[in-house]
Amino acid sequence: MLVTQFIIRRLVFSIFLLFGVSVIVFALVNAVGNPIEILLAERPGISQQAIDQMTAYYGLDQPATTRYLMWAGNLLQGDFGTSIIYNQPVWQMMTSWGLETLKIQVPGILIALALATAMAVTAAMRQYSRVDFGVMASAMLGQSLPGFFVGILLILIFSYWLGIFPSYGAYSMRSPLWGSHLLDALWHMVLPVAMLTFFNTAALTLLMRSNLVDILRHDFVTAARASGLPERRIIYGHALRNALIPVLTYLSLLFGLMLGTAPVTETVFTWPGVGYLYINAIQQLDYPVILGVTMAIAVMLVVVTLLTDIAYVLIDPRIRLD
Amino acid sequence: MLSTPVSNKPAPQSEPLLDVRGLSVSFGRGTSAVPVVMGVDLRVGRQETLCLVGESGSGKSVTSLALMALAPGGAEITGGQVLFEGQDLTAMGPAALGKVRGRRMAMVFQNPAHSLNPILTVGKQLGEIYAWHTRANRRETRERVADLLRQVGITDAHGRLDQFPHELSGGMKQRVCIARALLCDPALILADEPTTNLDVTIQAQILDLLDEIKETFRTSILLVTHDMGVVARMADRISVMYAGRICESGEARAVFRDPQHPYTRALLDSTPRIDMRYEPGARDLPAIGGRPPNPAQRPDGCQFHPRCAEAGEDCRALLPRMTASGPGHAVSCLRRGSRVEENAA
Amino acid sequence: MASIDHISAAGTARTDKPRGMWAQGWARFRRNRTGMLGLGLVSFVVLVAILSPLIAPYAANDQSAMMNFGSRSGPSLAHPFGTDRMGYDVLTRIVYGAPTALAVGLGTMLVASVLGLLIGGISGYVGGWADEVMMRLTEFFLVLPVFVVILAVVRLFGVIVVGTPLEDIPYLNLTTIVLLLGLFGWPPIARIARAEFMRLKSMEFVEAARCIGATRSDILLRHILPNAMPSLVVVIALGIGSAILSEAMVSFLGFGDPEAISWGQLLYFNYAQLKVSPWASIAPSTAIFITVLGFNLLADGLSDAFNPRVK
Repeated sequence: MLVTQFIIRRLVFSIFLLFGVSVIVFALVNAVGNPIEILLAERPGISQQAIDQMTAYYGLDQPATTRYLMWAGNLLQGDFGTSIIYNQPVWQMMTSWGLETLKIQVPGILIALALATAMAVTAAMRQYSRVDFGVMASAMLGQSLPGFFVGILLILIFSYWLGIFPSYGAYSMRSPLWGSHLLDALWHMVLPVAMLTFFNTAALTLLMRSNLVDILRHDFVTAARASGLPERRIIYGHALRNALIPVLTYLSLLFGLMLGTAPVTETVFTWPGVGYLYINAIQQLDYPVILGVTMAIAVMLVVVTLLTDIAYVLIDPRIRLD
Repeated sequence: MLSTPVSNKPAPQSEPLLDVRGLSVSFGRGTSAVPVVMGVDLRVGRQETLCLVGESGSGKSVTSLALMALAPGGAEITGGQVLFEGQDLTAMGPAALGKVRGRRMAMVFQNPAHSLNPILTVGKQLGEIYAWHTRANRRETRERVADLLRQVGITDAHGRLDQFPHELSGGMKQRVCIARALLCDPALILADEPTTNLDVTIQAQILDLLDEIKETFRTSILLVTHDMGVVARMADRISVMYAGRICESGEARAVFRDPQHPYTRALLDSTPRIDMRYEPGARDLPAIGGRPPNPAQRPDGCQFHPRCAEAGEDCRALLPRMTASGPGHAVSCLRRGSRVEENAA
Repeated sequence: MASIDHISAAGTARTDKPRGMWAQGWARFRRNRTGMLGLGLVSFVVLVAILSPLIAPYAANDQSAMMNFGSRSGPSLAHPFGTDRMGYDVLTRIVYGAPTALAVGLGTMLVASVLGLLIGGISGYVGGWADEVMMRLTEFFLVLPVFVVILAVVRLFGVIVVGTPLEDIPYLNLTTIVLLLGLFGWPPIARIARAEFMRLKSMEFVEAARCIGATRSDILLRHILPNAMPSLVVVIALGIGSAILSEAMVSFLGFGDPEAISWGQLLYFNYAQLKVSPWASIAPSTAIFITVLGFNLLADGLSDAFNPRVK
């Protein structure tokens, strides 16, 4: 099979996937009933007429299939609807809040990748030594440490006790630190990024170390050694390259995990990201936002999975496309 | 003054290319260390082929790696010297070793499919080695690699440079591996079972190729194998290894004509050969009964005695040492009058 | 002498064989330090859960500290882990959180195992077209933003049931969480089950069973399943840990079960007061950490014990 053919097949599958997700999410949200009624039920001052008016305004009086088609049609045109609570376009809200999420997540993955590589190489080169055992044990421990626990400890130590970093938010409320908005933003990022890095590093180190150990046992590594290439070159030029291939798949899983747990991360640090937005939307039954964020996350996951699949094929010449 | 397979004595005065003395390798450390290679002596003269023969598990592959001062995971060279071109490789640092490995001494592995990096093109992985050793530029490197591929019998050498290993056949891969070994004109090629994983017809081609490069590149070859057919075809000299020790070594002709050690005899008897007539009456090839000892639980005395028909009471207690049994021929067997190893515990 | 040792060693090697794979696995597991540490931690949590009414210094819903000492008092002799913002004794709540956590972990894995075995088993045993469909389904669930969906469903379901008889089910919220975690937690089990069933169905002893006329259910339940168990047990142990963690996160975000005493809830109620009463947040976090670590280490040890070649 050709690479393009493979990509087309994956694309078709991805489209089915997104269609499935949209139906499920839409059905779930709509099973709740009329969110306007539920939201306004607790407020006695509002007349039935006002409720009916709002229901009609949001198109909630139409049958479910019509509403799904309308919603999906709008979605395809990039229209995610309008938030019931904030009365803002959902797309606009997602991009501004989403940017804050990526601001901590992307550095969290990249720094972790660099750290994990260094630690895994150190451990794998001295397999079964004390260094190896130490790296493995701390990674194992780190992997079992819940992310929020790390966040709590970071806040307690660096924010409350040492008073170095702010414990919440992405920006200072009043004047920015040192009068610079950039420094202020960076300073706020430190703790959340540290927590995400910690969490990712543990899992990545374990994975890369076991890949490396496995690959260092291969004949081609011995052959490279027997050819007089220096150890550094063998590790970085040969073994690491091969060991990174499975890591690639894992990175897409990790990305999904991070998007999925963004609500927790952002609650710990009161970070104005898309996860925080989502939690609030769920609590307040702001259904256009719930639908929009879920779909946006699903699209991102599908795209990342698709990209890794393609990258996999391009990097590893052995992959048979069947 | 080339030594030919016919000559009996390969210039005894000149210093051998490779002189291994008392090489020992163990797995693990301390009290749980398991010795797998014990006091092995080997010599390879210039432009000579030495065949190191033994069953799987006899320690011959570990030995061949140890000759490059390499040890498979968990193994360690615990004693002895590997004198190559007058230098002891076991005493060298990584930098000095890097100037010997791949440059003066190169290796061909058993499984060509595994010994090439699957995600690098042939040109890249061979070129990297040549460029590293010679500091040649890209164009020179590509030329050199293509040139060698041509010399080992690969057609369309330039086209192959950009192919990945999995796009080549098994025999072709082994040719690439041999080309890799030849990149820097080494004095010695270690070939560890280079034909075991190949089809019979390809095996013959690879053996021919090895013979050919021995002449054209004036290299010596240390060929590790379990196949007496290969030995008969390639060897100038033979060392037979059993359970981590050499039990017989000598000129190929002498060993084949008059094998001394019962194990060598059994090996020869259990190999179908064209150059020897089978004893009348014996219809089948005899097999060697029993199995080589577990390295963690070695018997006392001669390692071969549990499987040896000639073993006596002394064989169970005393370890024989290599003793000359004729011109250019040595054996370690008490039944052949070998002396007893004194410091055998 | 040595030769006799050699022979007797070979003899014991022979008697080793008939020992079951569980006995062999256990023998290897016992020598695995991380695995044993995991088993120790898990046993500790299980013990605390079973004995919770006996160990807990106060009654589960005793908020009396609110009057006597005031809430949010630091660790003291009367309250080793302090009291929280609602006047509960933190240690008591932690102890009573253990059975909840284990119920969540086991319940989730029960649902996930049934689904995973069914889907993975059919996929691997039948193969072909069924396999294709099942594996696409698995892939679909793997790409789904599970945690996010669970949050939405728990909340929405809570609204849906209002006014229906379902509302009267005790621990409804927690049950929903467990069912959802199970519903989304089966893909790893299905993957392993598929691989194992595929491998085992063509093994000689299964062929032999088929030849002597064993029924299909007999082959599946008595021949294949028991042999697939070691690999499955590893994934299940990992799954228990991650289910406990997921419930904690759901509860931490405020979507937990108000009726249940869970570590995540404790964290939810006290996190806002982290600066004032850190112990009330650290204690439940530590409890979650210890439990998850225990199951992870246990899984690691089990995988080493059953697949000694892997490492």
